[in-house]
Parts: sequence; structure tokens; C-alpha cells
Amino acid sequence: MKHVMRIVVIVMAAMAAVSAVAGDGVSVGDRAPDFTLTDTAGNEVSLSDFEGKVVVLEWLNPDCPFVQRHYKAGTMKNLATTYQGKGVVWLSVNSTNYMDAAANAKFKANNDLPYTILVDQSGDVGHLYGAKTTPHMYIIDGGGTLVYIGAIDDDPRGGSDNPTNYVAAALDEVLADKPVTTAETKPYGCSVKYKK
Amino acid sequence: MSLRGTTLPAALVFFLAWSVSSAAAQEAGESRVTARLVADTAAVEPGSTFRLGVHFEIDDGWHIYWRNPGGAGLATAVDFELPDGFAAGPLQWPLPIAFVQSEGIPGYGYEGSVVLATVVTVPRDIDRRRPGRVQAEVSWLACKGVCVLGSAALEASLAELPEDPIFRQWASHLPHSSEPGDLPFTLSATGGLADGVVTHWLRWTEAPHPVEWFPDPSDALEIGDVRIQTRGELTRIDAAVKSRRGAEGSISELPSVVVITGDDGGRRGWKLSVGLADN
Repeated sequence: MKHVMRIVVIVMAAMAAVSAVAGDGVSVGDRAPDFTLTDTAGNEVSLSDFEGKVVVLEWLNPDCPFVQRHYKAGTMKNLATTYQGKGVVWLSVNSTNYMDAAANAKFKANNDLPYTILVDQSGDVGHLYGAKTTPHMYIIDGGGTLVYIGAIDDDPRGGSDNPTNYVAAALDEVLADKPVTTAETKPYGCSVKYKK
Repeated sequence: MSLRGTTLPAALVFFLAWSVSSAAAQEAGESRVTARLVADTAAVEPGSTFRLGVHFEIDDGWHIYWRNPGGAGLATAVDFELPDGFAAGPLQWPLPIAFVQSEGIPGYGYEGSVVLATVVTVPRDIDRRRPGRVQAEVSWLACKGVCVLGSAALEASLAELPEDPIFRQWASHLPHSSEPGDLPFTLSATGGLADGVVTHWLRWTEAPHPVEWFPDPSDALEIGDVRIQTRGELTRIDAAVKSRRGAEGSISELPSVVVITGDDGGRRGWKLSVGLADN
């Protein structure tokens, strides 16, 4: 019996280790894992709904000052509007544990956002993708492959007169059927406030 | 983080040096953190060096960030502006502490209080009575569940900055350089980028107390899971590493700081650096 208990403990320890590694998420070149979440109206939305399209995933948290700065400046909304006109799908994901559909709906309405916010209070999709910061940006090409992961731009402090927007640069290359030059950057922002 | 020395017009320096200042070290507070300028000398001598720093006092339960904030966050920034001819060295970062920012996201930073300082070299031809004024642009991210950005523009006359005893407290909190000689360990490394894991092996002269490890910031390198194991005098630090595709920066070396804690709770740390080509 003691022997069996030891095996159980070892298996549990191994499972814990695997779980920790799972938080590392996806890498550029990986096939983007499918997921299903609900939007602010309660409708189910799956990544696979947009098969064949270029998709941007933006992790957000309206309480994070980095997100607030970008929304005040219109960074995300302008980018989404520009590239939606070129057939790109923009999906925001909120993995903040305490933000339900109503909280996200309020943020969407207050900012008059032309894209969907997906509610991920469990943090499952955030962990699946390894989202660490808000904002944390992912681009998936029309073939379903991750082609960019990282920061929105090269200006964490918001002090640059002429920041380089990594997402715009990557989308331009993807839409021109070119490989993404800067495919991975260090994301910056608040930590995603995952459920404990 | 950046440091720079800039020139104040002579007439302005003259005016500022004679202007009445109500406080030797101007304080500025915002959000959950207070920052003030501090120096380790009351008399700035021509041709000498002294330490100039920013003392941060952080509300209970909140933290600000080390030069590598970890998986999220933002490094604290201090940008000194000095009178003409003065030169500032690199910013000295005391040993950070580790914390969990959110589920599975490590963070490195400071709680309570910290001094981020630099060594300033004074030119030989200054007027002792009117050495000029110093300024520091400071910004930080403070977090405790939620995060708040803060900043302060600090300014003081060098003639009015007192010798601050805070430096005696913080001098022992800086990491030692890893020059061969008096080190309490020998360092070797195995693995590298090609393996996806680099392993630091530290053989200590005596069994160490809890060992912590803090990788330096890098735009080009992503540090994943870190595992630290100590058996007797041998510590093994495994760090998952990979390069970010297309990102700028060096991927040849991984600088870091290793920290041990003594029985008295005192912490000592050393700067390390290992190559990332196959070891």
C-alpha cells in the first residue's frame, strides 16, 4: 500500500510539473490552438470560426494603466479599424479573473470598439497561449500558424515620438505574403490577473 | 533605464545655486511610492567621486521592479541630469526579491524601500560653494494586485544635499562582481540555446543557504521555467532559454545575479555570466 501511495505522489508531482510548463504557452511557428469563449453578449466564439483569415489576439485588462494609455491614444481601435478593412479579424481576450461579461460590455461600449471582447475569467485560454501581460499580442496567419507574439510596440513608457508598432509591421508583411521580420518581442505591461 | 549628463547654462546654474530652496532633497510623491534624491556626501569636492541616488519608499504590500521585471511589469527608470562636466556611472541595482505577479508569472523587484544610485565623478574646476544642481526624472510601475504608473521630477542643489545615512544601509545590498579570488563558489555551465536549457553549476566552499537566481533583462532572450536545486555544496540552476525571432540584442551571453540568504537573514549576491553557445 505504501508503495502505491508513493507512485500516486510521484504521478501528482509529475502532473504539477506538466501544468507549470503548460503556462509557457505557444511559440511562433506553432499551429494556433483552437478555443471557444463567449463574447460580451453571451455568444460563443471559436477561433476556428475564422479559418482562412488573419487573426489578431489582443490580451487586455481595462484596469491596467498600459492598456488605458493605448486605449486613450486609440492605438488598438485605430489599428483594428485599419486592418479590418483589409480582412483581418481582431479579437480581444480578457483573462482578468474578476471581469465578467457585463464589465467587458461596459468597456466595449465606453470605447465604442469595433471588435469583440472574449471573456476568459477562468484564464484557460490565457494559459493556453501563455499570455503574461496586458497588452500581449498574437497574430495568426490565414493558414492558422502563429507568426507574431509579443508587445504592441517598442515604447513601454509611452515617451517615444515615433514608436514602432510591431503588430502593424507584422500585419503588413503577412498581408503581403512575406515572412514576419520581427516575429517575437518581449511583451510589456501589467501581469495578466489570472484566477488563483 | 538611462543615465546622462547634460549641460545647464552657466547663468542658470548660478541663479539656481543662489535661489532659496526650502528642502535639501525635494520630495515628490505619486501613487503608492515616494521618491527623493539622496547623496552620500555633504561636501562635493573637486575631482572626487560621490554616490547620488533616488530613495524609493513603497507602501506596504506594493512592489516596484528591478531592471528585469520578470514575466510582466516595467523596470524602474532613473534618468539623472548633472551639471556640466559631471559624469555619472551606470545605475547600481541592489539585490532584488522574487515574487509571483500572477499565476505562473514571476516578478523581480523591491518592497518597502530601495536606493537606486550611481557614482558621480566631479570635475576638478568646480566652485565648492556652488557646485550646481542635479535633477532626476524617475518613473516606476507599482503593483499590488492592481498596477499604478508613477513618476517624479526631482531636483536639488548639490550644496544643500546632506550626507544621507541610507547609503550605509544599502551598500551591502549591492551584488559583488564575480572576479576570481574571494568568491565562495566556482561557476561552470552546461547546455545553451541549442539545447533550450542552460545550466549553471555553482560549487560552494560551504553549503549555501537558500539560493535565488535573477536573470538580467534581454529583448532577444526569453527565459522560461527556472529550477534551482542545492545538494550539499552543489547548486544546479536550470533555466529554459530561447531566442526571440527577429528581436534585437545579444544572445551570446546570459548575465544574472545569484543570491544566498544567511542565518541572520542577510542576503549576499554575485553577478554571473555564462555563454549561450553550447557549453
